[in-house]
Amino acid sequence: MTLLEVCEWLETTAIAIAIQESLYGFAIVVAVHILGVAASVGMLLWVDLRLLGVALMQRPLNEVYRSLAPWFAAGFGITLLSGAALFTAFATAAYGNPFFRIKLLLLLLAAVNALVFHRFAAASPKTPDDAAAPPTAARLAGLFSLAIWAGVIVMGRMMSYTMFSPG
Amino acid sequence: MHLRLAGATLRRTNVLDVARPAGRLIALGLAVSAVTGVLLFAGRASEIAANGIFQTKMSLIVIAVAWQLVVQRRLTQTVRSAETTRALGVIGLALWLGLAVTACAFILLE
Repeated sequence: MTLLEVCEWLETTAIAIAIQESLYGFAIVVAVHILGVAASVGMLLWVDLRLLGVALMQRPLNEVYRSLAPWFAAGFGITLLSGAALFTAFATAAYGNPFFRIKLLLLLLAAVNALVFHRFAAASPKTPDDAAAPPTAARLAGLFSLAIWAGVIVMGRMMSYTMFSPG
Repeated sequence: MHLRLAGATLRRTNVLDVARPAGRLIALGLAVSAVTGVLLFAGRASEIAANGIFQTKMSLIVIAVAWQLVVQRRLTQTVRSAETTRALGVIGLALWLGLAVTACAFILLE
């Protein structure tokens, strides 16, 4: 079975049809997806700001990360689930959409970045010693994260303008 | 910021240490949103202005921004009970969430 055939099949599933055929169903799932982005990227933003040395320097990185992690993890969960639902409804259109493909690549990069960072953050000291200017590696990690997620969001917006035919 | 006020996260961080950078970010975000919003509005001004959901969104923006200013003033006062702080956070969250939902409704249904 080719990837495209899988996409075609996904569009016939119950959840896909529910979204395709109901204006309110589609709107609700997209709204949940967008709010999920706010909950996930919006919370992760504070970790990135901490990494950059721009905010929350009063507390250790490790503490900031641990405090925010359950929130952005939950946010990512909601975003991922709603995104998967949206994908099933428009799988073949997404499959062919260049912005979607770039979005997927960026998401993969973000996941790799998160894994690498999780090791780094978990290993960093708990004492406020790192309240001094953060090391270059930390700054780069924060910048990288911000850039990737900004890219994901922009790709998502571009998808909405290029995937659906008018009317 | 509102989650911190409500006591839901970053509990070991001083409230003002969150509110200060958050206030700046919110101001920046509002500025960018306002400019780009005017550009989006300009194309179909009379049609959009008549829209009920849009009117709700504008009202919520006014209320949320006013609330934000109230909160920032309150936070600089030295005497502040834990209950007041939590209430500020919860109400603020509700306002911004309501605004976000209204904005989504406008984009998706109009």
